[in-house]
Amino acid sequence: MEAVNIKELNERIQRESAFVDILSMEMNKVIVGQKHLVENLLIGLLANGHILLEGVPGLAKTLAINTLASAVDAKFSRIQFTPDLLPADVLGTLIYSQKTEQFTVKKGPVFANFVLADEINRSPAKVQSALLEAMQERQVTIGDETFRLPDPFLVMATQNPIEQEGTYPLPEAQVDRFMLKVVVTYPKKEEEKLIIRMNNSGEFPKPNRVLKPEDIVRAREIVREVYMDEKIEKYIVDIVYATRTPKEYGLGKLDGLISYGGSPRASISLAMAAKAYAFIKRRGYVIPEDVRAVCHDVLRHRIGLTYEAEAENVTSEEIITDIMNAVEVP
Amino acid sequence: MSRIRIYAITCLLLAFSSARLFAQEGRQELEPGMSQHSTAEAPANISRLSKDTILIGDQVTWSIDVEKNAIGDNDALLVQDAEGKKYPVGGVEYIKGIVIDTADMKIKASAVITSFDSGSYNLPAFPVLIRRADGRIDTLEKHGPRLEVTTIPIDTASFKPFDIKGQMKYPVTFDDVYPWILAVLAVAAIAFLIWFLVRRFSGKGSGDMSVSKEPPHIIALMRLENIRMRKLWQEGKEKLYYTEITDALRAYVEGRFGLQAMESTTKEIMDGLKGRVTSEQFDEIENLFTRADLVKFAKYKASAEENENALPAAVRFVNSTFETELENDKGGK
Repeated sequence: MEAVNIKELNERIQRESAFVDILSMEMNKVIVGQKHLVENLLIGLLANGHILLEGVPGLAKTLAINTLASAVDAKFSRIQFTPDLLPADVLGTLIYSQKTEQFTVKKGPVFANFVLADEINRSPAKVQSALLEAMQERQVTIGDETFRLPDPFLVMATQNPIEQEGTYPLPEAQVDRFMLKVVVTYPKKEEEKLIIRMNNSGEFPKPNRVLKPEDIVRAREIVREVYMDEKIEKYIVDIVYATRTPKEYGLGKLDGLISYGGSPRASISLAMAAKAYAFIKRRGYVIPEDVRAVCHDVLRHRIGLTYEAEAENVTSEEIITDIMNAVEVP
Repeated sequence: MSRIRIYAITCLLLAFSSARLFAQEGRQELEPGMSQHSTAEAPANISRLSKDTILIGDQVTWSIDVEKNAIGDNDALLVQDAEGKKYPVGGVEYIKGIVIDTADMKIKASAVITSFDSGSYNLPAFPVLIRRADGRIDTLEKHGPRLEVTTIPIDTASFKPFDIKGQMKYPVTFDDVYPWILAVLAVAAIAFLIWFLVRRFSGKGSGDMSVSKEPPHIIALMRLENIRMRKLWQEGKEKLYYTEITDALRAYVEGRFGLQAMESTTKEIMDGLKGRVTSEQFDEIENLFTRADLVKFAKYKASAEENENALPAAVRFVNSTFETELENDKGGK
């Protein structure tokens, strides 16, 4: 195993992660409250994982993503998912040029550093699949030609949990491709007062471009270097295994409530998100708190509930909390 | 005159022949081998029913009495065709077969009969015969009584049909449940025996229980002493050294303060201890946990001095929090 100089790594991370504070500051200029949302957007950005945002309308989901894209000097595109959207509208298509008498490639909005897939569950499965495949492969094939998507490439999708009429819920296999599923909640009273004041004054602060795409790519490399001890790896595996076989962890009560647990992709995502969280906290190593901090966001969309659980109003949140309270911290 | 004489003789002959004919009618159908005998010599007995009118399904005793002196010492009563005969007449059946009772001054033969069909039934002669000493067979009577079988009258004007009644439920008695109680007790005894044996042989018996009854500070101090004896950090096993110290402390915190420390992070444990220990105790344990986290998760190389101080710091925390609690208890009293 390669020797890791934690002291040196820590110092490097202290230096390199300075932009996190600046980026957070720029975002906080526009977004009032929603600290958890902003933090998770940064985790997604640094861990190279896509984010699914869920929340009722009006919670600044779209604004947060817009702001992040504005703060980074990168290409941003927004796709409003509608029932009549086609895969070609997302990925691009071949257009016949009468002038040259040839087909030319017209790239779709997915060719951007930041893609906002607004209300992703409003489009049928074929459009969702097209985007999710691009998310996974990070390349798109149009006609005979395959195009790499730009780096960094981050998809932030939103969905509304209350409206089910005319929606196409994301299948489990596809929702697994999102590293994080962030549930956006209402702001606090004080925060909401501030939002009203900002809107009444008509002065909407605009974020400055403080980061370049190369900075993010470099930061991602450093995030990968964040030291994760074997004990933390075991802790992650224990948590994910507990979602599959809760009985082995003294959670027999969850046995009939989970239809399927987290996949190995869940373990990978949990490890990467914990590293990114440690980076944001300007540490060169992961501690159990980092894992616990991202555990809900990484696992909540990866645990399938049985009919019994739904009948008893047991949520995946409660299951994750139970698991975290049962698995021994190293 | 001679005509009158002839007429008188003819009348006498007719009267004599009709008496002969009447006597012939009293003969019963005999079994093969039985000889016939005129009724003029048979005793005049008449069978009777305990009730001549019954409801469908009611039982009635059909009997006949025979004076003992009507039967000679060497005579015997025979039941006619009793074997296998179930019905004296169509529609009437025997419930209890013919019984001959000779204990009294009268010989009494009786049977219990019933009918499940309403109507009027002419019973045959009571099927008991007398076998004379000389082999002759005498009948007792010519024909039996009439049995009227009536049904329950139905008032069609106010008739209401009723559903079939359910099965009658008898009250449960102790005798009914006694075997079940025994079975449950037997199963419980077997289960207890299995549990006892498993517990005894799996080593989770009284020995472990006595350990778990020790107060948390004693257990923690024993564990810390065990860590000291093993000289882990001196052998370069710093990670194990700090892991075992923090595990002992977490178990102690769980036992002493009721926090779920084994499943909590350092921050969560410290949050739980805030306000429950003195600031000196808090700072000391926080330093220890933080350093332990660095050693465990960040490859931190603690100095010899830090390693030496780690164990005494843990012991100090255990002792001081225990003493603080004792003082609080005394103060409370």
